[in-house]
Amino acid sequence: MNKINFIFRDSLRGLLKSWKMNVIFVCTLLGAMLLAAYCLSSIRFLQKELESTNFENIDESIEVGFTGNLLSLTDKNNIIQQCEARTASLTARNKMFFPELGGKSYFVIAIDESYERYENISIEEGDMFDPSGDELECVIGQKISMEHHLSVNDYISVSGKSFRITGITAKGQYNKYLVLPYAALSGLNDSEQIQQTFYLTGNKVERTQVQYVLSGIKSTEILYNELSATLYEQNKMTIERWIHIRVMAGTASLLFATFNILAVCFGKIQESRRKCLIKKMLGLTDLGVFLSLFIENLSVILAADLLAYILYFPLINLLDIRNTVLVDKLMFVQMGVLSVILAAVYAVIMGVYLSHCTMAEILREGE
Amino acid sequence: MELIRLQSVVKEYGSKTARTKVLDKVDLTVCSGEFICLFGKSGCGKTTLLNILGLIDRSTEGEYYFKGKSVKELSSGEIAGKRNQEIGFIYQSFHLLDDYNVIDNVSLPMGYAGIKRKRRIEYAEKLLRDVGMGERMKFYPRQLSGGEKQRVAIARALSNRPDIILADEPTGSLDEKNGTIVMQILRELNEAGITIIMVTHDQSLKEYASRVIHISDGKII
Repeated sequence: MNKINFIFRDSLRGLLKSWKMNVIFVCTLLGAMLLAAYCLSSIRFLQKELESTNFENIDESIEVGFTGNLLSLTDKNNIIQQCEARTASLTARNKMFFPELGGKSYFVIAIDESYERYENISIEEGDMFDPSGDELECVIGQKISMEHHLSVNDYISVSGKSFRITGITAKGQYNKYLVLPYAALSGLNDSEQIQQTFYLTGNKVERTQVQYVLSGIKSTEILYNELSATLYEQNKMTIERWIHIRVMAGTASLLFATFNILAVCFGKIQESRRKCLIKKMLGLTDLGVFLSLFIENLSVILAADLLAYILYFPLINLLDIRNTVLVDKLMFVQMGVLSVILAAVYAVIMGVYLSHCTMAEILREGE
Repeated sequence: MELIRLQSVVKEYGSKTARTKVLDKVDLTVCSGEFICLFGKSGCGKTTLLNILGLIDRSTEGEYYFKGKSVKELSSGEIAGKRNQEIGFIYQSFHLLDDYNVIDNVSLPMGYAGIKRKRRIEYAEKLLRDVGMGERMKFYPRQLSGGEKQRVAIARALSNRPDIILADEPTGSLDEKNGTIVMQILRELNEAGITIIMVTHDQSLKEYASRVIHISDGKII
């Protein structure tokens, strides 16, 4: 027991004594792990993004996008550029383009008969409209109510039609909106439509929401569809190009790191050989030599792993200028557990390998 | 008392197609208390013989009896044990561990023998005082002169009270004054009952030996 205890402590002390070589070793391992982690995690993220950019994969809702302040197709390129600037950090749903609806004060939302299940609108004053009544009814936002001194049971004119106000929304909700029954849309000008939203359950449309502006903005649904396809293709190409670049960069850096590790391993073996031969001469057994090397290498590698684990997320965030690697808490824990397991396995394999190499050198020397 | 007996020991190196015979049917008997000088030119097989005697290397053919027992019957653990407790080594290039200070170098073999730290340090201190290195216990090898390093190596060789000390050119890296000091220490150890086998090509060291053996082309002549 005393012998093993001595070998263990002697190995750890040897580790500290030859700290320069070990620091290089730790740094090399650390660099390799971080580079690999960075490249792989960003590739994984980009792949996910590519999947989510494909609108066919979105099963919760389809939001048809709008180009509210666009009056001509000549601004198409400008929109694409704006979209490109925003795509890096936005999800597919957000990527749908909502340019400024500058200068337009109020919007109209029309919702279908399923409005009773539409929980997003809460009424603070009055009630929701009744679409089955003889009279055209609507709900208005608080801001409209305040600015135009409108209250429940007053009338408001939209595209030449008169609507009775049945309710006013709660503060902060749909402040600048008029909410109408879907059926009341028939008399409104189609060209004012800026958004139509289908809420799906599976493949079936559960409810529909259409959004208009009050004054003459050209409908751009056709333009949007064209843009949508163009944007998807452009996004796809950009993301695929980034994936290829990162795969190449990751491979190159891993190869570089591998050569570096091999060089350091070779240096360590050369350094250890003389020490091991002397220790063997002084009576250390073959098993003792192996244990001594194994403990030393294991400690160095575990130290590198531990450092990599601690530094991984801060460094990744620092390096990630485009903010393409987003990691939530659950992912952090999962990756943490995974990295500890991988670190342990890697440490044992490397420890055995290095010890084996050194022992082989010693035995060859003995012959 | 017979300590070591070699019978027709042969040592060859190299592959099957290109073999070099370094030792050729060497017979040697060493008794307890002897001071043997092995003389020979460079490359004649002196160090190989010393490595076989010190159980660092194995012979290709022949028998080696250490204290009457064939080393072929010993496991690698038992051989390591004998190197640790019954044989002391002194080399021309000292073979001290650079990362260890003097006292740690000397106490290292005692650690492998399972001796507790307090006793190791006490005995290492005594040995270092005996070889005149009491003032340099915390020094590192790089801070010592050649003569001082060799005295530390001698103290280390004595740490487990060996029966035999194998010295390979112990004065080879030293000036005359330090060489004389080292040889004087070895003589005192021999007088205290320790068997010494020393490899050298310095004819002036014959005077310390109780027996002189010449080696040429792998054979004792």
